[in-house]
Amino acid sequence: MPLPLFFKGVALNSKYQDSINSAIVRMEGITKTFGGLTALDNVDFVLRESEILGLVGDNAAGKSTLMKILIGAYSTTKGQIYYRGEPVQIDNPHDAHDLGIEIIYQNLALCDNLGVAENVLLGRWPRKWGLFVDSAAMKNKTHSVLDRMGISIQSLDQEVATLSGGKRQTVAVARAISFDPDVLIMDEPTANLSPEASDHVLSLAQSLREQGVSIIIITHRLSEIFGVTDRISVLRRGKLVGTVTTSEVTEDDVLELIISGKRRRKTE
Amino acid sequence: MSNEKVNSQSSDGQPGQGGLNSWYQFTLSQFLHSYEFGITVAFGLLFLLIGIFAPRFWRISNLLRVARSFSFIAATGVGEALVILTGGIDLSVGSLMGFSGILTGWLLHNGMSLWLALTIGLLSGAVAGLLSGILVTKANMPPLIPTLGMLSIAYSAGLFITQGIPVTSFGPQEDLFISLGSGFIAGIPNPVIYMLLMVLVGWVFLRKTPLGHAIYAIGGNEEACALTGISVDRIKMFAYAASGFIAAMSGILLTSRLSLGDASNGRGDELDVIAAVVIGGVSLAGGRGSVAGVLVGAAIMGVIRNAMVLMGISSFLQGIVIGFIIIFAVLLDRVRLWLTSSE
Repeated sequence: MPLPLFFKGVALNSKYQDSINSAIVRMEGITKTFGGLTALDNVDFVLRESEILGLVGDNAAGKSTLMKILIGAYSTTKGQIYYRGEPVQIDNPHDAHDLGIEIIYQNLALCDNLGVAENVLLGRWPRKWGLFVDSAAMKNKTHSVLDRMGISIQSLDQEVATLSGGKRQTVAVARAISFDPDVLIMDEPTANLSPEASDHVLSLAQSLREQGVSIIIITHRLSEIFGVTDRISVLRRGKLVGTVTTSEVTEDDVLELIISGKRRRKTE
Repeated sequence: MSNEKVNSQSSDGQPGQGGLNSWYQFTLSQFLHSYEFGITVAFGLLFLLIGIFAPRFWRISNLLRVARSFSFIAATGVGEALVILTGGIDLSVGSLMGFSGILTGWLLHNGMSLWLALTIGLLSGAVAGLLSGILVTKANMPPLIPTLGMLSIAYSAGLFITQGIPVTSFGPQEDLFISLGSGFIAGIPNPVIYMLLMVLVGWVFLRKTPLGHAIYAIGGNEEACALTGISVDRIKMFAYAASGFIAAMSGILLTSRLSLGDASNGRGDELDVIAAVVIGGVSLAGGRGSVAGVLVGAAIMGVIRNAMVLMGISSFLQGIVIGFIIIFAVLLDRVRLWLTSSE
């Protein structure tokens, strides 16, 4: 099968080959149309093992659509997804979950009226005697997830509604981590957060990467992800216009890609 | 990386040194700030005040009579609370009480065995509730519509079965049937024991079982529940079916207590049931409240009605007083939610 290019005009190079070799997720030739509208046009996307990848682009660039295809919320019109090198069919969120792909939605999808532990294990509350929720086991499991993240919350009974924005984000991350995912998608994780809380969430992402989790951060805030991402993929009008190594580019380079779809220096 | 270690709980999930105290302090603080605590204190004060102005109120015989009078509302309120906690509402409970009682009485009158008649009566309520639940979840109807329809259907079906003539005799097992609602255990009227049992079962179910937790979760964020694989539709259908089942149970006991199967039994009670649930602190938006609160809500309404009778206040004023209490209770809940979000 001919290997795809990240964007037109760039020859296949060794970095791209490395990407494919170390890819945990590879999406090839992804096209998605809604009626007459093409939301994604022949997109090739690679997420490597244990990396943080920033997925950026203007509004309606196709970021969310691409990720919704990866988690099975949307089907593809054309294209193939590979997971650890094997072609896979992801028809619904359960399929993605079974593969080890989790997403944290921008609205966090938390139940404000429930406690921290109940939210972290939402719908998967441990049972006692088959009939009752085992509160102690629920708290133990939540503690172990929070410990893994290096976080502690005053009381696991505390209603999520009473937590700060940063801690609510922490609870959402903890829920995703409780599934022990290999791939974690964070949709605008720092939106509506204070700078301190944003730093906290991003450092959490770095910590998870160190534990072997591959992370995709969808964001508008370029400055924030420059400190944490290994690579950045840029979508523009439904096309992937470039994937760059963060340490080799400046914010202006990425901004130029977002705006014009071109860049002075060569992308991968 | 930043670390928000602010408590003293150990990593094994058990409170660490000093953590036990803070845990209890937190739980106590939660309880003291809860609506249920506020309304229980309010009920206690009301209880004392009425007794001061009408000493007959405190007599055991009067208290048992009052408890029996609101027992059917409180017990049916447990089922209604399940529905309201999911963010829905069931307007059919009053008519289902009447219909199930009539159906059971009519079957007994026609010679059916007690247990079979009871089973059919209870199932009729559950099936009617389930139908409402299916229409809410699968046909995406606002809960008001199918339950309002069921209110009308159940009332008319009750009239149709008996052709408008109340059932007053209950066949060969009449004594046993009537003793269900009219009897006493250790001096306590059976309906009061039934009410306490329903509240206890409802409390354990909602607080301790995964299904109960899921009901609260759905009321909190239905979309989040669906995303995490909770069977939202099935659980909502269960809530409506349970509400119908409990309404039927209350209706059968009411028929037994009155020795009368009549379509007017329970008619209009849905408003008292919903009022008890709301006064008891169950949020109409779903996700918040408890069945213990429903018991207190029903008790407040029952006690005020009794006090007005004892003090010789016109019974025509009862509706006005109860109406103001409902509005005040909802207002209080709004203020509490506003304060919580402000914090």
